[in-house]
Amino acid sequence: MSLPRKILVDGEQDTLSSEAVEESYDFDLFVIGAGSGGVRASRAAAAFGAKVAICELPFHPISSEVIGGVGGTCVIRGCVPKKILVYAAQFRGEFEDSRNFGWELPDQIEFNWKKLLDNKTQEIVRLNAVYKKLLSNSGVTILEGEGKVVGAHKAVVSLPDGSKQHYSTKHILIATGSRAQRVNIPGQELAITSDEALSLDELPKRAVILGGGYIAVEFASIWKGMGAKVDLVYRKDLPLRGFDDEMRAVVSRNLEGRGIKLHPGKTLSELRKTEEGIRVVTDTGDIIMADTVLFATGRLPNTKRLKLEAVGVELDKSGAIKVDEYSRTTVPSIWAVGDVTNRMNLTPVALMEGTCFAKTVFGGQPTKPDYHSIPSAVFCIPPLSVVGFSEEEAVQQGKGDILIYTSTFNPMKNTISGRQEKTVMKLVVDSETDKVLGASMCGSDAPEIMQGIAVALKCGATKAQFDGTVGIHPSAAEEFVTMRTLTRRAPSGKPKTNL
Amino acid sequence: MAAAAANLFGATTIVLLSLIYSYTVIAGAASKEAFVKKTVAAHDIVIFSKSYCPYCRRAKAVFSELKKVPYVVELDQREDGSEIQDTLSAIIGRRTVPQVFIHGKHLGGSDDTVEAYESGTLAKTLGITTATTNDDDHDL
Repeated sequence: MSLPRKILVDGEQDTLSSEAVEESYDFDLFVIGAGSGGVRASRAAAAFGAKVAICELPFHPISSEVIGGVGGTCVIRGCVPKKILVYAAQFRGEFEDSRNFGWELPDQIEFNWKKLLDNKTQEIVRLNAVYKKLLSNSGVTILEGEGKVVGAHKAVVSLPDGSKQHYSTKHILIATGSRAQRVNIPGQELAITSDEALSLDELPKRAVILGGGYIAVEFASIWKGMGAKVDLVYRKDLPLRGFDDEMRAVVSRNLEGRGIKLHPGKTLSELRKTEEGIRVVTDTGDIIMADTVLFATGRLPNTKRLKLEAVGVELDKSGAIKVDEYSRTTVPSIWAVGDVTNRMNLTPVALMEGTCFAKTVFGGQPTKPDYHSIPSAVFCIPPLSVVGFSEEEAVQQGKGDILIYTSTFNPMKNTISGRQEKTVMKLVVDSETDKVLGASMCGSDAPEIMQGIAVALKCGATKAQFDGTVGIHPSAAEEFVTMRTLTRRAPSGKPKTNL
Repeated sequence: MAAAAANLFGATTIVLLSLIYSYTVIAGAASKEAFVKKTVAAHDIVIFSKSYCPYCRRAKAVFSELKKVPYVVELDQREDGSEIQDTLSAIIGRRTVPQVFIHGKHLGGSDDTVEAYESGTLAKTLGITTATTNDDDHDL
């Protein structure tokens, strides 16, 4: 006779005696959405002995309300294919830079978009299969179709053939992610989102991108690197709102330096199809002709079709699921992780939330996700990577003065290649405790370098400890341990930069 | 015969239009180059800038410190700003702003301007005498 599983949640009493029999359910956990968060939570829960099912829409590179795929946004139409395209785009700069290093290359180097696209698609198809295998090897039941919550312990799956299957479950986890939003302007149907941008049949010769976030600047770099003429239109003075202002200015300068035309303080008012292409009109009356217009104006949580309010799950005004510190919704048996909760929308954060959820619900170890010192990167060319507080955040939240250390230098490679592009690094330090509160870098390999810096910040490293660390020479990374001279002191509560 | 003549006329028209377009582009570029050179020659300090750019603000601040008023060309506030930027890129090999010229010579961007200011070479180039002390005149 198999013993009943003891599933404790933070705050619940252990009222189960060894003779008590739990109510019978088809599953201990039913997960809707097999993206990063859902897959991690499923596998971790199964490892704790839970009987788990996960539901996901049929696979396709371009998502819709009825198409998705195991792996989710990140693997199929997000980080992974995007990074493949970034690698491809970086070669243009490498070819340009190689000449002064003695490489004799023809002036005209051909780029084959179709070949890249085929290889990219092949890779995401492979990864989709890998994720399915990971789930089945963990003992997770995979259900293909559209999942919905119909009760506190009930889920239904609409199968591709139109039939419906009903399941009972002790816990439900919603991990349906987010979707690119479109802008409501005349001619909006002529524009695409990041989904389609990663699977275009033809590479645009002229692209207009609306948005100033990381997706916008990444695609600007990608298409420019592949030879397109790129116009980037955004509302603010600088792109990447929410990042350190000084680093935003660096990214802006680099984009412009690489030949991307910036249109700050503007938005789009109309798109119109003409014989010469798409006629793009800005709110200031500028006219730009384009082959492709990309809306990169943010993403919205995927909750619209779930009808969660009907079962008592509360949403915020953007449609994100409201959760507590343990990822629990307003219905005790229903939980949510990842972009659908709109906390910190990053793949590794969804993974962390999924792990914490499984530990809390099935591992008997109530665990809150820790959002302190989470590193991130913007894969523009060259990339930006950050961890911890920006200068502005540190100044607002700091008790004492904030010490700013910066290093701006011409990377060794550029001294030979002749490329006019500086690398910028920055440390934000609390003057009272000497703790490093934040670090940022814009330059080659920034994300690779920042991962190590993130470990140091997580451990509470001080500026003295950075200074006491021996550098690796010659490298750009060593600048982080040789920033001896204070650039400026910012009194807390009063933002101040030298820009 | 008529068809052949029409084809020849069509081909000639295309060639002529292409030549006119090429000439217009070249002439346009030449006029922008002339504008840049003329502007740089006519003023002691010229900054090619964009009004929203933080680096441009930083370069302008340097000249405020030195009590000098530069001649500023705000590229984002001109119809031909984009073409001027392309021309600057062709002349000096840089697309970014600001680009600063002193006495007709290219100084560089924001970092170069700040560096020249901090080292004292900018004041020297502009003929500004600064008070000096001998505090640093010893071995470290």
